[in-house]
Amino acid sequence: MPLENTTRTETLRFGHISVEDPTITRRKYQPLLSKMEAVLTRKVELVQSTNYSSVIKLFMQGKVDMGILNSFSYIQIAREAKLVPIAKRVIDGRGYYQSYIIVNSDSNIKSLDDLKGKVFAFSDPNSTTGHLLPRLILQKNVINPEKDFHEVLFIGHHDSIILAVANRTADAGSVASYIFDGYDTRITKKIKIIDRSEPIPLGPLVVRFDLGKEWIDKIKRFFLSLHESEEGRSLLREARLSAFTDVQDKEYDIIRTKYNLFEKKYILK
Amino acid sequence: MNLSAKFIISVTALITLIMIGVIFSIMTREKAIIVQEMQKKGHTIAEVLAMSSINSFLDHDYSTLKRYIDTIAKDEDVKYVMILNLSGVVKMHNDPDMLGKVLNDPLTINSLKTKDPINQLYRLNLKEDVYDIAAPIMTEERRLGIVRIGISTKKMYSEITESRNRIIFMGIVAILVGITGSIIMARTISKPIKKLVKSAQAISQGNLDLKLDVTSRDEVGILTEAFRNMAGKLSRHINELIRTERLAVMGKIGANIAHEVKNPLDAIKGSAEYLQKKYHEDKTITKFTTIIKDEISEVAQFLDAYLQFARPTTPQFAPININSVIDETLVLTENLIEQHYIKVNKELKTDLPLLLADSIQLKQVFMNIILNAIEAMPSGGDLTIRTFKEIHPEEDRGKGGPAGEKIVVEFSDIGKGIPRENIEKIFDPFYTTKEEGSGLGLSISLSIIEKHKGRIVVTSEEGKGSVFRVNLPVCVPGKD
Repeated sequence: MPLENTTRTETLRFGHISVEDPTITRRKYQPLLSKMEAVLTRKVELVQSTNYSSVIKLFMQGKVDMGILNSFSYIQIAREAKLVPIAKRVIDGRGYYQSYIIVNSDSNIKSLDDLKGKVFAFSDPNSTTGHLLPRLILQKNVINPEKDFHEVLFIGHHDSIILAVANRTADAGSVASYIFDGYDTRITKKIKIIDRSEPIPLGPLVVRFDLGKEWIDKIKRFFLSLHESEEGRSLLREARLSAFTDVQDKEYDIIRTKYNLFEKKYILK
Repeated sequence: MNLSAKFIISVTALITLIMIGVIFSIMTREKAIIVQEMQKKGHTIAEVLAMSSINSFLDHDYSTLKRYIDTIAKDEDVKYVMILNLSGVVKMHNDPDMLGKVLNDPLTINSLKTKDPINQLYRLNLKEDVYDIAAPIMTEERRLGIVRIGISTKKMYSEITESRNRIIFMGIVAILVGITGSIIMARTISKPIKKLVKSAQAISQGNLDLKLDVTSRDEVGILTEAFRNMAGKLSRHINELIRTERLAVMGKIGANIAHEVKNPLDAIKGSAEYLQKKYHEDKTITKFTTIIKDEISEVAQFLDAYLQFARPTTPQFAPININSVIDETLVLTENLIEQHYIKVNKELKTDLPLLLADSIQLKQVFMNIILNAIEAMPSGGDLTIRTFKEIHPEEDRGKGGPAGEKIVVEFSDIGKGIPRENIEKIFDPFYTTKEEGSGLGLSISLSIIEKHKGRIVVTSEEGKGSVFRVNLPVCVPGKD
């Protein structure tokens, strides 16, 4: 059916790295994507998956046309998946974020040194702040998670890590700062941060290169101008974003440097 | 206590009792249903949550569990909802402060042991109980933890209270309606009874002229009707007694008058005969004495007839020919008939059997009927008198005569007729439409015919005339 074909090819599939509970991601982004659909007069569909690697796979297989990636995933797949960064998220007025090492407030863990023999929760193997950076921090502090911890958990969503630390499933965990900072304070007040990574740029908004210059420009213009209108700012607020700004690929070189320090065997694709 | 009060009190008591019973049973049932529904709801939520939580629980996907729990906690009946591991550690709770706490109260210990959903009731405070419903989170091989949900009875109890109040209100309304209804009913019943009581009191004081309306067809209506009939009969019997008394007096007076008149008549007659014999050659004397003798004979004959009418005697039964009685009656009324230009048509059957009757009394009856016919045709008309035989097999046998054989004497006039409403009254004593007249004629006639075991049937159409039929049973003499 020609009509169905047209519709299918015309639909822009928007992927989002599974940083938190997919329901929350949908709640944050759906209004923004509906607006995009109206402005571009092209159907836009939010595509999600359970974990980082399955979202990465969607990008690699061309099953999504654009979306938001974390920095770590971006540097790994940008070239292969023919993705170009067109904007960068700004959250709480900042274009960068950190990894927090968190423990329960009631816990007697005061520093990284107290972590030995404890249960530690990473988020996703492909997470920047939930795996790459904390592992490097631990490495620097001469802690080998697999040897020194009682148990290492990969819990997935960053909000689940906050909850796992709160409910004593894990003694400590690593979490993206913007997820933690935006989380329910009734829960985060039970958590203390014992270490922070250096700031790194927030993951980019990418589009598939073969979408064509005309569409790429249109999409770019839509996102970069959002914060200029009251309606756009309101949509950004709902997505817990301040704005989208210009981005350069070289901003992620810092991640590439970290990546080179990282023992690749931990990445479970 | 009067009848109405008794009725109202008993009906009210009955309604109240029934309503209390109904309210009690509805309340008990409703409470049971509400409690059952709430428990069912709690069980369903707990079991669905336990089933849905298996994977998330295994994967430490707490954000998903939090979403489930936050959704469930929105229900206002849900006091709390939590997921515990087997050590009693709160892994997820609608209250974030509970996260990570270890529970070891008896309720938790009981819940942790269970392999099937369990339901425990405990008192939270004076106004609120909680059904704590626990369901295990289980894979095929092992239990992972439990889901616990607290269903508050607060809303349940307020719902029960509300429904109880509503039912009680409805019950009060029903009782009030019942009381009002019973008052109305009591009044409806007692009003005609009160009227009857008044009438009875009136009768006991001698007032028989009652006006009682029968307005209903129920028992009270029947009673009123019976009462009215009774009063009517009483009144008639009293009137009959008066009539009999008066007739007796009239009979005595009449007989006295007749004797008083007849004695001088005999003297006058004797004197006239004497004059006739002595002066038999004197034509003038002979002529006038003959006139005197004839007229006196006529007066004497009339007086005899009058005496027979006036004296209420027991009938002297003898075999008679009915046609002769009619002829003799017509002789007595000849003058009146002629004066009123009335033409009498006689259609008398000749082969009729003899009757056992009192001919003098029958004459009196026929005369009364003829006088009525004359009165009904003041400016003349036809009076038809018929006699014939009729068989009424269904009726009683006469005195030894053939079954139901009757002789009918029928008088038909073409007069003004009797209005329908008066037809029953014409046999009442002292009922009369004439200016002079005792009103006794037909009443006496009826009692005479009844003594002969016969009947008088009157049919009449206003403006066309009346028919009086006298039925007399045929009797065989000597077989009384």
